Amino acid sequence: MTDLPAPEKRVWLRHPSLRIGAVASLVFLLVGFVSIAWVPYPIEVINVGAAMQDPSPAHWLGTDHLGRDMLSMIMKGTLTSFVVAAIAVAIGALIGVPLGLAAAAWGGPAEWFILRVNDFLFAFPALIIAILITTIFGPSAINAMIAVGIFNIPVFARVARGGALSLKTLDYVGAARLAGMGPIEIARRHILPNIASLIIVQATIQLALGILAEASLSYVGLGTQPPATSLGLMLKDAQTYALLKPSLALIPGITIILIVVALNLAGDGLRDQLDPKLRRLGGARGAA
Amino acid sequence: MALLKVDELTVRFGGTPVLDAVSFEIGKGQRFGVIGESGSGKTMSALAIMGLLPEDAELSGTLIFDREPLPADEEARAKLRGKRIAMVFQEPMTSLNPLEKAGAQVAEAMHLAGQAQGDPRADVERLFVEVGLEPGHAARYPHELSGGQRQRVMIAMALAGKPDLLICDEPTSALDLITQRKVIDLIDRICSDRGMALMFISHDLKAVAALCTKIMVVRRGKVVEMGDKLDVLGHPKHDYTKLLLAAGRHRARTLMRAPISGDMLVARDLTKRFRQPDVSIFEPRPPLTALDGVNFTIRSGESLALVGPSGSGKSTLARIIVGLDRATKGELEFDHQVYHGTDLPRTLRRDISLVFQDPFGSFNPRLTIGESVAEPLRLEQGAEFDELGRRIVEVVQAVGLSPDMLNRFPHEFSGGQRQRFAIARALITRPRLVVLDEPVSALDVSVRGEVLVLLNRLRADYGLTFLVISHDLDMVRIVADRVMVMDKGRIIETGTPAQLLDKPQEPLTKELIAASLPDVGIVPVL
Repeated sequence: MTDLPAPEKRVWLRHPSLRIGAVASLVFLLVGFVSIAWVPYPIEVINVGAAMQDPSPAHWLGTDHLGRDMLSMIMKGTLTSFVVAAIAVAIGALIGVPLGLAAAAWGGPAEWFILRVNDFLFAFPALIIAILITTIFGPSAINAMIAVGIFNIPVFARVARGGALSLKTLDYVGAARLAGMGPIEIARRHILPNIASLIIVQATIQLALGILAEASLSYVGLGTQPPATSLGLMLKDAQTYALLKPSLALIPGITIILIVVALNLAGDGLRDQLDPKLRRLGGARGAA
Repeated sequence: MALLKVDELTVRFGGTPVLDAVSFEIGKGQRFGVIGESGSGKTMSALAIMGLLPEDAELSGTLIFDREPLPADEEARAKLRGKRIAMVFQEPMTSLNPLEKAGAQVAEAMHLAGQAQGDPRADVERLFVEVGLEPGHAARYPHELSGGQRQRVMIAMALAGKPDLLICDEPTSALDLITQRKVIDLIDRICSDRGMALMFISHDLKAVAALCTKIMVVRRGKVVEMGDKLDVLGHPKHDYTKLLLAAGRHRARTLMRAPISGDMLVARDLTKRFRQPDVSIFEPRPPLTALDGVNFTIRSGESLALVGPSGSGKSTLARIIVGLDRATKGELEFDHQVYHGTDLPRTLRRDISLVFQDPFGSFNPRLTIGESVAEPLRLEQGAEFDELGRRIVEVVQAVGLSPDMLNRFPHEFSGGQRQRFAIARALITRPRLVVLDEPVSALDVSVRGEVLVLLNRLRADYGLTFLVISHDLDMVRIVADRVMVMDKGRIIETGTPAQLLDKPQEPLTKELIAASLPDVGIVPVL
């Protein structure tokens, strides 16, 4: 089939789940970034006198047990969650993609070694190892990023290797080899641009998982430390008052759900759009 | 009385018609051929009849089958499919379920068509024999069958419901020459035995001529010409039909030349074995021998053709010569330097180039054509930048294209144009030996001839040496000075095209030549 670039761009935005997911993700991201410059109330200031207030014009989402403004907390927490998850994805992609490409390019013992290390990492529940790392090196947001990032490496390595293997046998890669290009140059010029869509989709999904992982680590006290805050840390603080004031737990909890759902919708939508095989499947011809 | 009557059939995708008011009739037991190039809409006409059009297609016009209009309702349509109308698809590998045995799939087709009474095994066996398979093949999975055998299974499935009309959509174009002929003969026999009507869709004039009595020529969704076989092929009225007929005859002039000087490439005892995955750890499989002690010489300035059935090792040999693969045993000598494949010295890489078979897979879709064509120039160390720019313009003009096309992307070009660019890429380093792996087999018939003319001209202009891999014997006659026949990794016969094609000695060569279908019609004057 011929690929027509012009109409494709229009379809891009027509895909409903992609549009909803992308817009919602961007809104949360924007809220997070705004919190760098401005929040309604500083979150480091404790005002026990104003604790546990219900939502009001002054405090849109109420205040927590220390009298901090919940809206400000959510804004800062969203930022922390995104930053931790994004850096973890970056660690995974920057190390995992080259490893996957190397495995596909060299094959043989190099590939065997990379795949076995991958299997090794996959075999451990990611969160347990993250807990191990943060307990050894001390709980902090940075250690949480590294811990989650390490477990993103095999995911990206797999995706990159799979994509590269399917492209490797194509004639244009053969033509590049005939032109005297080495494996690194071929990977950069011919393979990477053609598997970029796969990696972007995987990154979106890993971003959602990273936000969940950060929340879990902070919830058990191994991630972000006060006075900074994250959505997971807010959940942890709220559990003592869960019966007294459930909204303290519900607000960060719902925020996490919304972010993860938005990112997953965007990821699924992107995959449908970027993978022409899946897109054609709807109108594919049946067999007799 | 017509079995199928198609009236003003129009199929659109988002406003653009792929079929435009097409009308035709197929009588009971009639053989109807549809000729057209890729993208002409011929497959869409078959899918419209079967009710298998993609969901976003808009259909208008009337389809009348056996005096009743074909129902629009999917459920009612499904009852006709496989029972009264059956279809054989182009690619037998993707049309069969890889997880089920061939016999079970035929039995399922019978069951769905309501033809299964009692034990279907006897019926399946009868069908297998009818399509020229052994009953034992029923117990095999599709990957254990060859391409021709898979297509026979597909035909058996189509026959399971005892249809009145069999639609075949390019059933032989994925097969090699000998198998192609056998499948065509099979369809021919089955249609006469069963008195079944046939709608045979192909871009291959000869295949259509061999099978059909009535022919329709389609171009860009419109019927260009329709009529009796003898009329359409004997006295074509439309220019397009004339063009197709002329292209099918490859009227390019042969370029016979004595080799200029000594040996350019010598292969000695070249052997290639591929490791095969073991069945289990207790049952290792022996390596697959793709090349088995191949010896030959290419002299400077000659054009050597390599012919043989698919799987005979032709492409493996080409990949080793250009340095994409490494021989297990034996050696090659190019210009007095010995190499074994991938260890081809970098200084020699610019002297040997390859033109790939498929012009659609040989360009990176994300690079402009110019970037891809210029890629081999990195082998030209020390050349001036301006000189390289001139080189690109020269080579693009040499293949008959314009340099201002270089900034466009591959999908903007037709198959023929892409293959010209692929040839330009192969020539840009001014090689001495060009290996061409089936250079025209992926192209439409009407552009094959001009690419062959181009190849002959380039060879004369630049003093090139060719190694042409092909299964198309007509093409071999035009481009080759000498022919080698290969089978099962060995070279079994060598000679000039005249010697070999007119007086073949080996059984395989005889079979290859017997498999080519007779020429059609007259040679029209354009």
